[in-house]
Amino acid sequence: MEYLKTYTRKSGVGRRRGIAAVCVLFLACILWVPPLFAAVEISASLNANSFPLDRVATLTVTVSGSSSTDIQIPEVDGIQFHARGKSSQFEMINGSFSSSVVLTYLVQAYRVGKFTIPAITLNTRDGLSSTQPIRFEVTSSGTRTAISTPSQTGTASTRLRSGEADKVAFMRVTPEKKTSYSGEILPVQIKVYFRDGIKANLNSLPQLSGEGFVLQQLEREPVQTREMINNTRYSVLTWNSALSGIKEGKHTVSLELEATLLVRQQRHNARSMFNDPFFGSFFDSSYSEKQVTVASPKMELTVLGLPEKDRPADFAGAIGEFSLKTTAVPLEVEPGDPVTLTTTISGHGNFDRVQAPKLVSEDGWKTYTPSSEFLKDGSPGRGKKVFEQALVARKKDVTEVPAVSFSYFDPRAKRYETITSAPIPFTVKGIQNTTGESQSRQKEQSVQQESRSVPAPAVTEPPLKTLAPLHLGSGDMDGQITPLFNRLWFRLLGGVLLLGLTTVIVLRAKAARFAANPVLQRDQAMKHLLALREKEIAGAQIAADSRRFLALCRTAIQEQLGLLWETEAGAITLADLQRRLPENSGLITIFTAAEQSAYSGQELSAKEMQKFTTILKKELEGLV
Amino acid sequence: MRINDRRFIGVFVCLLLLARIGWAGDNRQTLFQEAGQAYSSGDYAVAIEKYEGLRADGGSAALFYNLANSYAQSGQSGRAILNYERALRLEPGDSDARGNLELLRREKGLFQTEKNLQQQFVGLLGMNQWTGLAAVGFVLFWLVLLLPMTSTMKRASRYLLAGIFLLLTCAAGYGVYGQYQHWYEGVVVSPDARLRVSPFSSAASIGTIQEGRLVHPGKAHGDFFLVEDETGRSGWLESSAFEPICEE
Repeated sequence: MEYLKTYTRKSGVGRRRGIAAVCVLFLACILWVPPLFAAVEISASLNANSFPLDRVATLTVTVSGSSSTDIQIPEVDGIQFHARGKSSQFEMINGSFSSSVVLTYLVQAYRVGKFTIPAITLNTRDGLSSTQPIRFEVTSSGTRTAISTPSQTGTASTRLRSGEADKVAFMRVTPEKKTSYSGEILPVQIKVYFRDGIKANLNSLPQLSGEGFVLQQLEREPVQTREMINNTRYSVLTWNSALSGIKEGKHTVSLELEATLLVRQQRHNARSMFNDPFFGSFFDSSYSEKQVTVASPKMELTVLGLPEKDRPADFAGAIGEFSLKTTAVPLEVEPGDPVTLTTTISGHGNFDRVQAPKLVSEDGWKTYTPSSEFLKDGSPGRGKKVFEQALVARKKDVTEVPAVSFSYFDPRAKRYETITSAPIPFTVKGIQNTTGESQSRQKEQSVQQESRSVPAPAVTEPPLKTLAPLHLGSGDMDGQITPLFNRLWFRLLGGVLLLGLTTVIVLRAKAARFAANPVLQRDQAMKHLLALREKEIAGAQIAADSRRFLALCRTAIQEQLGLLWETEAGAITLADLQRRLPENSGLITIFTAAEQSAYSGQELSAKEMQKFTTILKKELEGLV
Repeated sequence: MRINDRRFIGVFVCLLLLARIGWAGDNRQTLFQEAGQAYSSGDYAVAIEKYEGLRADGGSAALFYNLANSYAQSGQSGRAILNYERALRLEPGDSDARGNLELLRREKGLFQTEKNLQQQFVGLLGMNQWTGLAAVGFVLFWLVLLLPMTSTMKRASRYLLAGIFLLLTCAAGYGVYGQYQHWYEGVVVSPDARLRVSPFSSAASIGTIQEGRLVHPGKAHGDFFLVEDETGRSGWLESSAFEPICEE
């Protein structure tokens, strides 16, 4: 009985372990095997089949059954794709496992028209998998967007407007002011409120609805906060952006955002567990998805035209409040060397219309196209734009980097402003930077002296005249602009060198192995000695010198056994052989015959010598 | 007798071939000199034509240099810079080519950013010099390690020497890598080249790209290449607007 209990316990433990192992294997199969063998599929969809020029559409590419997303978005004339992110999803529904990767792109159009995104292909282990081509239309700005609903079944679309009593989600848009000038940056704060406890996924960023304005590109990640409104807690997403008026007049605009709400649904089940709200909510609730469009209240904004009066000639459309700063380096140069003039325009306004300030006077200077860089400063429309321009002094008597001027429209003061920087003192080496009449005379003299001492200064003569002269010899005309490692001879030489190197390394390794192994060394020595003795024995056999033959046989036996037994070869006697070799060993016979020949002068016939040779060879080779 | 005849014919053919090669060499030298004379007399178009004619049979650093000078004088700065770069690929130590290239760049406002230490190190030698040095260092490294030990060379000295050669190989390898990054660059040769947002002639322009700018071509689509210039700007550039330095 005790045995039976023990057996039962043991078998129970074993069974549990077995079950656990099976579970682990099952889970592993669920987790790993299906993705390995699942069919790879790729699909693509565009959230709008028609959108205006001033908006973007979202292209979603879904790769299911593979973690590889090595896809190439095709090029489309007039369209640019901006990668916006990638997300992975793993699902197990009713034991069926699936994984997918979703790639999102913003589709920006540069012209109006009908477009087709060609099939997007993905290399899979089963070959190429591709999407269907997507056709869409880009309309002129201001045309109503047709948003396609991705899911047509099982979901309901609800339009929530601010002002509804039981708002689940709503949007507030707060512009800084209601009237702005055409092209002016109008800072605007966009807040989207979701009632606490509501789970929501954003399907789009807030988009402008209405004419006359464009909305600046929004940050992908809004600021997330919580707010209490009328004793209700809301999760709030905030974007700080800006509107820009593009058409004069009064315009009614609003903003919209697409979202999916996960709404909890109660099941009114008569057999609800314990009639307890906790268990009721735990067991008797499920979530359903609800596609919603959250829209802001409509607002009326006015766009004014810029006044024509007092408009500066160099005004390029900059509207805002700006300041100007200039620096130049180096301030002391060799003739012909460039000076970098850095102009920084900082403040707030439409920096996209801020162009490089003009030099007040370009006399005596050679100027190059400036480069520009915009550095954001947090809120929209704030920052600084830095222009770098290379200037080269054409004249030797240049003493200052010229001033620059920049014109803009100040919407607060409602007038055009022109700001001008101060000239920056500057020296061409060898010229004294002095002021005053007497000093200028001295300067002229020094310039003349300089001109005499330097026969061809770079700044006064075209630089190309100073090119180094032609080469007279044509040189080797078979020169190839090819990397050395791509040339056949170099590859062949490299191959030979590598082969030689490999051979040397193998030989050295073999030698090292031999040096470290005494058995190998002994075997080698035995083979070597045996070969030597066999040659001598054969000589004695041909000469029919049986005494020498037997003496050589004895020496060979002693040498081989000496190496094998690690003893002095000459010290090995017949008694050693009889003691350590098998009784019927042929070596004992030969050794005995050799002993007898040495002491009694016994001779062997040619036949016997041949027989001994065969036995000796066989026995000694068997030792190695 | 027959064998002697064959030998005679063989020697005759060889002599003919040698004469042909010699004549071709002389002819090239004559053309080269004629092009130089055209340049000296200010006839840059003729000089360019003759030098370009010689280029069809191959090229040399001197040929590319002279061609670059001719282009520079005729106002084609893009092609001039292209050929100076080619000359420098063949002879990185050619101070004339380097000086003229710098002068031309400065004249055209193609200022380059100051090189950092690593870039200065890579620029010490050309690609092929770095490759040769790396190969020599590699061979010497193994030679020192594999040669039989002698009483005059102690183990420590051997390993020190091997370490030096290994370091040399690594440094030269880095030089090769650094040079290779710029090996397949191209030069804008069109005076009104424009970078575009997508590879189509009708696509919006990002801006102009100055003639003579070095560009690094990436993927291609139709007649356009996605390029990045020295200043880090990237966009699609028509293939006819630039030429690769290395014509492989």
